[in-house]
Amino acid sequence: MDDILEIMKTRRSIRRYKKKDVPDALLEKIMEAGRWSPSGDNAQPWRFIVVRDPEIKRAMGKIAAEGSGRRFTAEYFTGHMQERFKGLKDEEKKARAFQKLRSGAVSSFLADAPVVIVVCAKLDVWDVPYDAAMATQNMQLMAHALGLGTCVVVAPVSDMRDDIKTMALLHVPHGYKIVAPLAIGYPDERPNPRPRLPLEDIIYYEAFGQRRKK
Amino acid sequence: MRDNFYFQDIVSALEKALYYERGKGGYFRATMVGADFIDRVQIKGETSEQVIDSCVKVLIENKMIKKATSKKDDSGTFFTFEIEGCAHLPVEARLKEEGVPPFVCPPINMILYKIRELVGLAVEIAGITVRQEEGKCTVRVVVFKQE
Repeated sequence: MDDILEIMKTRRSIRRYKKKDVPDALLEKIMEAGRWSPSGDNAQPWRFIVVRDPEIKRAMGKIAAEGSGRRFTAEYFTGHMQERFKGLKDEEKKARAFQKLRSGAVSSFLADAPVVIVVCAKLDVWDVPYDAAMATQNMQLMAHALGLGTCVVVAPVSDMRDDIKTMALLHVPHGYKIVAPLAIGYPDERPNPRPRLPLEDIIYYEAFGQRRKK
Repeated sequence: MRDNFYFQDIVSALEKALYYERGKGGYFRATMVGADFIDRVQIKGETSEQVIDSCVKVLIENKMIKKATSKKDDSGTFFTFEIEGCAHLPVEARLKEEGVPPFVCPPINMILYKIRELVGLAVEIAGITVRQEEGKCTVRVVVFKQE
C-alpha cells in the first residue's frame, strides 16, 4: 500500500480488535507520524498518553458509554435517530442499532482495545483543534499502513461533564485538553466502506455553491 | 446583586468552554464580544483618541467600568489602557481559579471595534493583564497607522 490515497480509502474505523498486543515499536511509528504533522507557528501542541492499563481503559470505556448513551438516547427521543436510520428497512437490524447506540455500547469498546493513545493538546497556542486533529489523522493513517486498526472515540471527552472525569482519570493538568482518545489494535472485523458523497456534490469553484461551468 | 452573580457565572462558564475548545485561539473568536452593545449607542470621533474618549464615556455612564486611561507610545501605534472597576473583573477571577488566562476584554473590544469602523484603522489586542487585587487591568493594544 504505497499509494497514500489507497491508504486513505481503505482505512476503516475499527471497533473490534484481536486480543493481541501491539508492539511498542509500532506505537512509536504511529506517534512519530503524529509528531510530523503540521501545526500553526510550528507550536506542536500535541502530547500523547499511551494507555494499556486495563483498569484505566475500563474506566474510560465506562465514561464513553455514559456519554454516548446519553446523547443517543436524547436523539432517539427527539426522533433524530429514526430519521438518520430511515433508509434501513430491516426493522430487527434497526432495533439492534438503536439499542447499541442508546446503551453506549457503540463507544464502550474503548475498554477492549489493546491500546488507547490519548491525544492531548496544549491550550496556550493559537490553532489547537486544527493541529491536534491533523496529528490524529496522521496517526490513523500510519496505523492503517502498519496493518493496525484505529477508531477515534470522542465520547469520553466531547461533553464537558465527561471530559472533567477523563481529565482527572489521566491526570491531565490545567493548560491542556484531551482532543481524541484513539483506540488501536489488530482488526478483528472488516467493515465495508461507508458511503461517501460524490466529489461533484462537494466541490464548488470560486464561491460556495458555484459549480464549474460546463 | 443576585443577577450579577448569575451572569458572571454564566459568562465565565462560556469563556472557559471556549478556551478549552480553541485554546489561545479563542481570543480570535471573541473579538466581537461587546460589539452589539456599543452599536446601540452613539459613538463619535474622527481620530482614535476621540473614539476612545467617546467609548470610555459610554462605558462609565453604563457602569461597565469605573475609569479608563490610555497612553500612546512614541511610535503612535502602541496604546496601553488602564481600566479600573470593570464589570468583567469577577468573571476573570472565576476564570483564574479554573486556570484559564484572560483572553476576552469586552470594553477594549468595543473601543477597537469603533476605531476600526469610524477611523478605518486596523487594530489588535497585544496583551491583557488582570490585577485582580487592585481591581485593574492593563490592556496593550496596537492601532495600525494608515498606509
